Amino acid sequence: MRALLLLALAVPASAQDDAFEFFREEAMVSVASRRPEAAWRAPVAVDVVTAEEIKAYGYSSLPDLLRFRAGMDVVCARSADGNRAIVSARGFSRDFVAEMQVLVDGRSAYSPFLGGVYWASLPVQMQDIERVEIVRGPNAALYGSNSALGVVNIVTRRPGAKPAGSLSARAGDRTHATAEAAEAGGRLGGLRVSHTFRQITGNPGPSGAGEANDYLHSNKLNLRALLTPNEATELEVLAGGSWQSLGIPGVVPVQASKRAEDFEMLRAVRKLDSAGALEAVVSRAAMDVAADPLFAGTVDVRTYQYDAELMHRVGWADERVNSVVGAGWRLTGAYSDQTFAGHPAQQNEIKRGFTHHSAELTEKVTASAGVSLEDSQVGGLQPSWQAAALYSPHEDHGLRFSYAHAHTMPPLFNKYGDYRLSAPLRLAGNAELSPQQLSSWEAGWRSRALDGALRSELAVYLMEIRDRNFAFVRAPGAPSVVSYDNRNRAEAWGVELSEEYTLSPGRVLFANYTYEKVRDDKGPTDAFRTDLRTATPVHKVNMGGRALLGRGFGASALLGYKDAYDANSSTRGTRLAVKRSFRLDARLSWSPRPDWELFFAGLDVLQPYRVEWTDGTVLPRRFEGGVTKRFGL
Amino acid sequence: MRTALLLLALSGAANAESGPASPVAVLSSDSAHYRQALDGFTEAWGSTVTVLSLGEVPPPQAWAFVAIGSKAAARRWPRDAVVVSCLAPSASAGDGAALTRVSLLPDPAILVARLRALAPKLRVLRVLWSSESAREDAEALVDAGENQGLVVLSERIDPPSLLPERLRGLGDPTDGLWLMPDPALVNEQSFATVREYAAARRIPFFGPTEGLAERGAAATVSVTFHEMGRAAALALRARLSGRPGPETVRAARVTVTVNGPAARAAGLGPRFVGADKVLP
Repeated sequence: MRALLLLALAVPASAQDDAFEFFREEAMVSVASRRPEAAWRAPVAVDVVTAEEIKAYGYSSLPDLLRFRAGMDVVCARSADGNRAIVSARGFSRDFVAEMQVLVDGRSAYSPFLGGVYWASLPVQMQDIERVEIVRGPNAALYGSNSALGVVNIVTRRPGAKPAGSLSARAGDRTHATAEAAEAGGRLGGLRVSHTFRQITGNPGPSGAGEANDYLHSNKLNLRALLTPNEATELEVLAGGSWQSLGIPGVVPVQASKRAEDFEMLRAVRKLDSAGALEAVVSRAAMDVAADPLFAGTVDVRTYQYDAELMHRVGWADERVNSVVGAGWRLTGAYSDQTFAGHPAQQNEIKRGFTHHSAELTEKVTASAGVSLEDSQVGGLQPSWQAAALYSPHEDHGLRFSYAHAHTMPPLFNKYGDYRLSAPLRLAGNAELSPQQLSSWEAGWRSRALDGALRSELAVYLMEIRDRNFAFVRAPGAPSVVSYDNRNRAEAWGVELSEEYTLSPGRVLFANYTYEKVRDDKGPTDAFRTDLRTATPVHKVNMGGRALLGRGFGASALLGYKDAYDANSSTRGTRLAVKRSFRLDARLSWSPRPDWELFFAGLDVLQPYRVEWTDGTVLPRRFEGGVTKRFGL
Repeated sequence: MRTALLLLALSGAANAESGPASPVAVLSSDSAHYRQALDGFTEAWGSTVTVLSLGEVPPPQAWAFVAIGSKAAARRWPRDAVVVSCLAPSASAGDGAALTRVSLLPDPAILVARLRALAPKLRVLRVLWSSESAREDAEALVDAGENQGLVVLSERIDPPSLLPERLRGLGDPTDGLWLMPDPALVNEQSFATVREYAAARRIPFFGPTEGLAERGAAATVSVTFHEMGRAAALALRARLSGRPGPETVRAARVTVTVNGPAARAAGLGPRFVGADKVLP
């Protein structure tokens, strides 16, 4: 018996060659499959932006962070309703991107009213972000409806184990901001509280001259409390709020619009074994908008969302098979006397069950599949599914093939809205509007070389959207009636290539290229209907780098190129041909001591101002400087 | 190999019925490092050991376990089971099972003594770690340094992605760096970052596993996985005999491996006192 045992335990010498193999096996990262998983083996295209990158590049907003990433399309727009950006993945950019889900610590931040996300009022602060995971491509089987083009998962920092804090201030020719954070903790948990104030003023008018009534005063407050009564149990309370007042470009005299957003979330996680866990989350979120200037006149809107989700992660068969099973309930709604004339309260109850499984079939081949079944008042019974196969012929190379089907729930306004936008124009929802259906085929390749210093990723995809939801003039006349319909089909294919090279510690270069081509079936053609063929820039190139220069100095630069495209507002019926453009951001920092940092930055320095959308939002060249003091490093 | 493990499991399961103290070894996977530890455990235990892979259910009467790897250590154990974990840096007790942990870190007193012999000019050593589970070992190293006149400063890098920035912010004096055996921090990228930081300042960079010396650390003071398995067997035997013992035990036999060129570039040598191996 002993001989057999020793024979069985003989270790091949080659297995000891890799100094990091043991530590790699012990380490777990990422949430691309709603369970801890090596990002390397994620079944979808995942791009992770870390806290280190956020600090080195000095991103002051989430849209700026997303602008230079592969496959992302960021447009400076909608400052009139406080949003200031439209963000989409893999094209299909328009006023309200209903096909992209945004999660903050797992909580959906998607707006049920008009669709999309209000980036500027999102109650999350840059100083709190631990990392941002950008999943490109459909992930509805895991995250439900409205995640057909991708998921942006914002993960915030947990309180540390010892007292720490920071104070920072920045000021420039258009903005000033202050941010404070404090945290403390121990073995049983911790608490982190943070606050950010930001003000934007003095932006020029649509022609680049004069001064637009485009100001934003924003306060954000967040709290995160963690309790770990034992090693297997975690209880977390997350809460936050955002309060904005904003001016309306082009409106004189000054008119103030108010926007308040808040959320509360309780999460309990019980670790069952190394791969198994039971997770329960309940959350509530609400947004109050007073005098929303997106519409003519003043519109008050209140939206709310209640969520409950239970999820079980489990590992089987020596953990070669990992499964996630979950169920969720969501009640979401909007209340507005003006926009839902006669029926001010509109809501949608969503019940959902989902499961996802991945299995290591051999040492080189992993397969994964997931399915979700969602039943809602707005969309009815909607299945979504996805499957992927990963083949790693070598430890540093991985090929990925996937297919996914996802649906997108129409926003409440598109379905039930009724609003006289102006004397000659009425927006009317279509109660028959059904969810649009997206199918995607994708092949991807990831590689690492030079001891992991050079990382490459290539993705090629083909998407088809059936029953595409679009706005059009249903009845010309006085007033004209603009409504929504599904009679449309679109196809898109694209290539995304990313390279990142770490030259030496703290010195990183990156480049990415995105090609996107969209084909749009002929449908009703008018000023309100976005022509997808020209709405998406065909070529986008981004490159950048960051370096620690010695003696406490650091520098970073980001350069982006975007092809020409046609901006088309489906709520206002306006169009703008946007020329191809470059954008350059640069930052220089100096840390005379580890706990101090001074910086100077220029944003969009190549041109005096930029117009990317039809609504008159102008993004001027900006210069900023600031200082940060950290405590308890 | 899986078949072999299965056969062992089946044969072991039968043997386990012969006595309640016959230990059950549970492996996170059949990776070489876990098998080396199992080899050491079996050798030191001296009699039959039931070997289970992670997904297998232990015999119902089993109550003495060695968990090899964090995944194995994190499984749910029978209430009142006696569990010793090794190669499991994030292992912790739970649900009533008494868990003894074999640390990846050598005995801090021995570690500091060997470092001081190797680098007599070492006055201030910065210890880099990230995970909460590495805190206890980092604090033990600080205490050991204090007892032997070496200033050991604990530097938590949380999150690990902030490593370059934290290194940049390290104050003087820093005479050497020790990378804790923390899976959140030990990878190709962070290793290269620390190695190059140390090289630029001509200070020695020390690591906890021999393979890191081969990759360019000036020296490593390590315990082999085999030796950790042996330590686990001794700890389990002590626990089963009813002797009270510490929650964390450490293997006493350490190996000092010096990367000759890297050590000389960092100002060590020409003689490497106490080195068990010098890599050319």
